[in-house]
Amino acid sequence: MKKFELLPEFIKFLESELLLDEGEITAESEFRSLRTWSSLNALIIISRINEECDIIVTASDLAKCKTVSELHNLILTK
Amino acid sequence: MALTTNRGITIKGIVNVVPRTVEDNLELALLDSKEREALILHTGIRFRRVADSSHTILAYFNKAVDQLLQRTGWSKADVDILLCVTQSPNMVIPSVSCRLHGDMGFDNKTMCYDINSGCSGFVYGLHTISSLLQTIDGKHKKAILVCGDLSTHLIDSEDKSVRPIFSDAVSAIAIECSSEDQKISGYFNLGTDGTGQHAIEIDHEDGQGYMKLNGIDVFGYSVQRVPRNITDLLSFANRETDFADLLVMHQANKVINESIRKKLNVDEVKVPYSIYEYGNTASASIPITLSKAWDSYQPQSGWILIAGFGVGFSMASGLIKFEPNFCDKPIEF
Repeated sequence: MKKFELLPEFIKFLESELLLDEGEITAESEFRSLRTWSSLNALIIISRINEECDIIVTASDLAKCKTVSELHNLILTK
Repeated sequence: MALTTNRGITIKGIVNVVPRTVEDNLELALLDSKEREALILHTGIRFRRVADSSHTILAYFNKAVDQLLQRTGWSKADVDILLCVTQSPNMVIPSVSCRLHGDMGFDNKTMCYDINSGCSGFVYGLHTISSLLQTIDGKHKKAILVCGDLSTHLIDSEDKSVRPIFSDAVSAIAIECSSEDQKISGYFNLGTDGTGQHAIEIDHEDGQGYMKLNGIDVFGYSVQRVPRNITDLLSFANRETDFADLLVMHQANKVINESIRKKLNVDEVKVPYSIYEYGNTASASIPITLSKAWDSYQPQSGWILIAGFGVGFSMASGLIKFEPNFCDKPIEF
């Protein structure tokens, strides 16, 4: 199974990387509105995704996504 | 792929110069306390050097070259090439190298060049000087490479994504070429991915004229292009990664550099950093990092890997013989 194939696994990963409480993120959460989201944290998330899945998410890819679910779908299609 | 070799080239010595003023990211009012701590933890950058707005790159280059001449004992008449690498000249015309030549009183036989290059500039400059020296008539030829930027003059001090990263510094490197020595002294791989031109840029048409940095795209270009650039170099040189005593990378930020290190599977003890003390010092970052590693450097093969990458998107790596007489920690100016 591909890393982060299941959405709950990806949400757990985001909560851990963004130092958020369990259950704070849902599929429909807008990730830019998360209380610890910042340009630095965006870079860290992208680097961790690269480390775990060996894929590159570009700034243009990210700009097309609004919710956690959309970001997850993007990673699955890469 | 621009893969090249050079012969008979020796780096004789390196000096580095930084401004006296230190900014501490832990006290940066632009960020709240949690942001400051996260920034230092993840980028690895705590202290940065900031030149006064009245300072010029020319004055820093002058100081560095003067120091280098003292340390080598070279006279200006000995110098065949003076090459300046910068992206922060305070005048567009004439070139920084010609002005430095005139202000310092170099000999009329000295060849002067400028290269407009940022974070890959040290490697590009070293390759260019090495190639030119080999073509000059004579047995023992000498050149000075000066590289670096006053990057803080190019940024918006209110920009959270740029100000905590960039720092001011220059380096001067003494390089010799002996036509009697035909052994290979360096391998280089120079490349470019111009589709990354907007990842770091100053667009004067936006009415602001400040440097803009797209950190996510810089990360993407760096981890996609730089490890491959280095592995291609090693294949060309017919060497494995562990042949090199050190891997000295441009100090972009720790997120990027550690990603590259892990992709190349290089032990962290072989990868020195200067980023905590000096930040991202553009084309001076490799010489400054070398100066930090110098005290504990114990050559095994005597060869090191160097890798510069960034604005352009430009990338250059080298596998070079590294046995200088001196590699000085930065002096303040």
